[in-house]
Amino acid sequence: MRLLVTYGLICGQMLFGLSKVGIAVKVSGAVKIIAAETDVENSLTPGKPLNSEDRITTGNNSFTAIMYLDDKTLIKVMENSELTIRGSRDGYGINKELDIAFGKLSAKIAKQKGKEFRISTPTSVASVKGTDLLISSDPIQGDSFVLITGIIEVTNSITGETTQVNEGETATSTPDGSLDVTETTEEDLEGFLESDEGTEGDIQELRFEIEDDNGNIKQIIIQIN
Amino acid sequence: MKYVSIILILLSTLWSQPSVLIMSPEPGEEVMDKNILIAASFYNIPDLKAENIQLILDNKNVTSSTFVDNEMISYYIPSLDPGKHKIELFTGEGESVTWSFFVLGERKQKMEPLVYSGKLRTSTSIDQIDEESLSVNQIFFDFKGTAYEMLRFNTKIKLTNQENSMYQPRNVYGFKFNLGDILALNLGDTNPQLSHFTVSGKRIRGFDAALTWGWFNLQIVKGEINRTVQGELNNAYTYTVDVDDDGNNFLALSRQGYTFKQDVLAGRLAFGRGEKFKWGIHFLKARDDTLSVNRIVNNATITYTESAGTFSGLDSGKVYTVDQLSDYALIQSGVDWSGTGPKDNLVIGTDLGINLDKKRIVLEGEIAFSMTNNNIWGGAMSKAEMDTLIDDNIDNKLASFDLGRIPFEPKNITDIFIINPNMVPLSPIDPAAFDDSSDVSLFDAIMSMPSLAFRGRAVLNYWGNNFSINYSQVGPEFISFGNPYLQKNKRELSISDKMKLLNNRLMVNVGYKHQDDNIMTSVDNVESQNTLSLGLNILPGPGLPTANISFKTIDRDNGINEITTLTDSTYNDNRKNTHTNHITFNLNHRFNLLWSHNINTTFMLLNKKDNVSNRINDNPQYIDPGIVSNVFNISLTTYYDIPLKTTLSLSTNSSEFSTGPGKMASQLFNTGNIDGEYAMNEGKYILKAGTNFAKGTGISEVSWIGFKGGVKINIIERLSINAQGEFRSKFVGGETNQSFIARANMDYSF
Repeated sequence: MRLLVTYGLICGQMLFGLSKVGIAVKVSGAVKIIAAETDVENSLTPGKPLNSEDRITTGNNSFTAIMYLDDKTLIKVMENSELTIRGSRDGYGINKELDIAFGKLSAKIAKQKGKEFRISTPTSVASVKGTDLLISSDPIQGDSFVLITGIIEVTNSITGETTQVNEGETATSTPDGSLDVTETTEEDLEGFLESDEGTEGDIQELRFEIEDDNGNIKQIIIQIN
Repeated sequence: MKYVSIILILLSTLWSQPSVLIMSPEPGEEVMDKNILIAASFYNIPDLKAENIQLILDNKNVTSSTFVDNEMISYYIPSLDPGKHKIELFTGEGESVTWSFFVLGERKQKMEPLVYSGKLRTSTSIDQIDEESLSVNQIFFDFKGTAYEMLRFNTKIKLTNQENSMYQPRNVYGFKFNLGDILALNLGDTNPQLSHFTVSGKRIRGFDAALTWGWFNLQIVKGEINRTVQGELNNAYTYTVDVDDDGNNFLALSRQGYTFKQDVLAGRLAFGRGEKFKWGIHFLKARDDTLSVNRIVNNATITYTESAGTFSGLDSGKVYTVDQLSDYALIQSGVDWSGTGPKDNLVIGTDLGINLDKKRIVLEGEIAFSMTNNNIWGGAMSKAEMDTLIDDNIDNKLASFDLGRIPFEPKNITDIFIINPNMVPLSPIDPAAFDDSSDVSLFDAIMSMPSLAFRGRAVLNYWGNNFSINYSQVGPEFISFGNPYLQKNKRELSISDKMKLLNNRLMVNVGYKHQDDNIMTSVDNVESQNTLSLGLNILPGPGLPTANISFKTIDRDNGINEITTLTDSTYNDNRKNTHTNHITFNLNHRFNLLWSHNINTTFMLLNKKDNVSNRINDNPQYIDPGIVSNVFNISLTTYYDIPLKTTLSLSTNSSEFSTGPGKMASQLFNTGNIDGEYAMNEGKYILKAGTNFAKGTGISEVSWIGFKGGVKINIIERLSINAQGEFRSKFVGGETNQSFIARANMDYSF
């Protein structure tokens, strides 16, 4: 009986525990957070934990990166954007949701393993399985979903039309109800560079760290042009 | 009970799979020396005690400076020395995680002088449909890049074999330069956007320059909307037989089949950054160049068809050049040409945008006024000529409008606009409104100006609602050469609300739209349309189907309630009053059954009824405009374990409608498609094949069967070719026709 109660408490804590869902891992410029609990606006700082229903806004030349606690799903929010981060725990992980009021963001979404990642805007709803994608949302102009890898489903909430978007495609969803899927062009990718990224060279490196029997750390570096 | 407890604990242990999730920095990651965050998640570790967690950085315990609880730890470091750094994270009970990262010192980054990329695409298509064939070859070249990170450039060039001097340009030459966020310059073919009522979407060949400096915005567009087309040589002239002052016949040749070069100058000056406020004033000035079309085209030909003897030396039915007819013909000046007269267009307007509460409230408005002249050959009118335009009284009045109120002489402003009897509208505002005894108020007269256009929009975004109200009016004579796609003589009011409920799992859209043409102060029969719409989008979550339901009613009325009696026995019944119900249901679902499938079904019902009562008694000959139509479509896409994708879709469309007085007919149309796509050699070759078929029965008997195939080959990285063809055999009205379409293109990116 005692063991059952203990087991129940453990599961209960996992299921109905804290509402903390993510953390801000990078902040640049004027980024604000309006906490759901207090409705007070404060500056967002790196390392600050994020709860469900917290609202984040970025100003001019500002940028922030948010990571979910359960699977490191990474959301990069570009300048002049506003979104509400949501998550509900079900014991297996966090069912994630982003409610984008407007702006641009990129998402690197880990495999959700049966959980849900939903992105909603004033115009569209996208259901995501495990994906790299770029999203630009404007309540007047509409949305574009640029898919780098994976598959998503986008629904235009005006007409209810749903379409599947594959790698290398861009879905454009507008407030007048149109929903089109086209091949991604360079213009679709514009505006999604991180605000604080400098110009890197074309050389990419992979570093592996190994420890020998004496405890010395050695590195193997592979450079890729 | 004891064994059940043990099993539960074991299952719980397996289910939890405790592990620290390193969030930042990644093991081995290189980071800059400022603003470093060390973070890890304990989400998957149950029963963790925060007081047991320790963070060691480079052998120094920094736990007291961290944010730590039983779910996560974060440690923000404003700066750190360059080099390798080691993190040790202890979660208690002897468990720990160790990793390292590298801090880079400040490094000078080279400005790349030039970074570029591009794409070259060639495309060939041959379409043979029934007796018609069309062959199109095109080359697309896109080239873009940056120079010293400040200057961005982009070129878009399209060359096609359809380019023809008899038509407007089909080739596209576009060059775009951006200097930071301050200056944007487009040269060549561009599609500028100034405002909805001036320049929006029309291609212009010239330049488009936009300067943005904080709250100051200036955009200038200059170029040509249409290029000169001299016309086909065998269709460049018409002729009439005229008699000169000496009583001799001559051929009066009049130009036709041409297009004037149309020059445009447009601009917009705006104040405000646009995030909260923006106010702009804009204008458009466009005019046909009367000198661009040649009056004399010596090589043009005319078929002489007059009876023998009308002109000695000319044979009826023979084709002559203009040069050969020089002794018999007189080429008319432009004012007498039978073709389209040269036009003039002036649009001025202003727009305002306000965003409040972080764009939760959006207010937009725009108003514009236009003047158009459909034939400027005669030049401008003087005030004296305007005085006697409508009546013969020389009283310095145009109807009741005092011409003395015009502060300028129209002939002095021909550079801005040419005023003559070909103006549209002839009177921009009802002159009676200026008469003290008029029953038309000045406000009504302004609001009903035939060449006035305005629109306003308010959007509110609160509590999951996106509420929008829009009003627009475009007068029957509002014309902008920079936006020829506007629907004129229409005013529209629409109200809509989009609601997100149940954590965005249920979307509800409701809307109302009213459209009519009751713009002028007196409209005999007002045409109107009212539309009510309701839509539900149901998105329950992963693994469950999504559903969409929409219901719409449309009521149309052309305002005519009576039959027009022509004679004792003939009449016209132009009454139109209909009611339409439109229902759509769609279901979409992804599921796994052996393989991965996506199924999509749609059902649509449309029912249109005639609302005019006693129609059959008043007009036994009328044809019922009603129609009942059902459409059902189902589509199944399957992704197999091998790189194969197949799509099967079937649809059926049945309609019942009237084909004559008291007669009903039906039409059934069934179609099917099967398509497959197979990738070989890790996607280097992609093969496509498919078939489609259709059968229609009822008032029209039609059927077809088609086959298609294609291949895409990725020859090397960034170079691919794509070829596809389709053959269709169609049976219509007892005749069989074949269609053949072939397309090939090559893509190269660099």
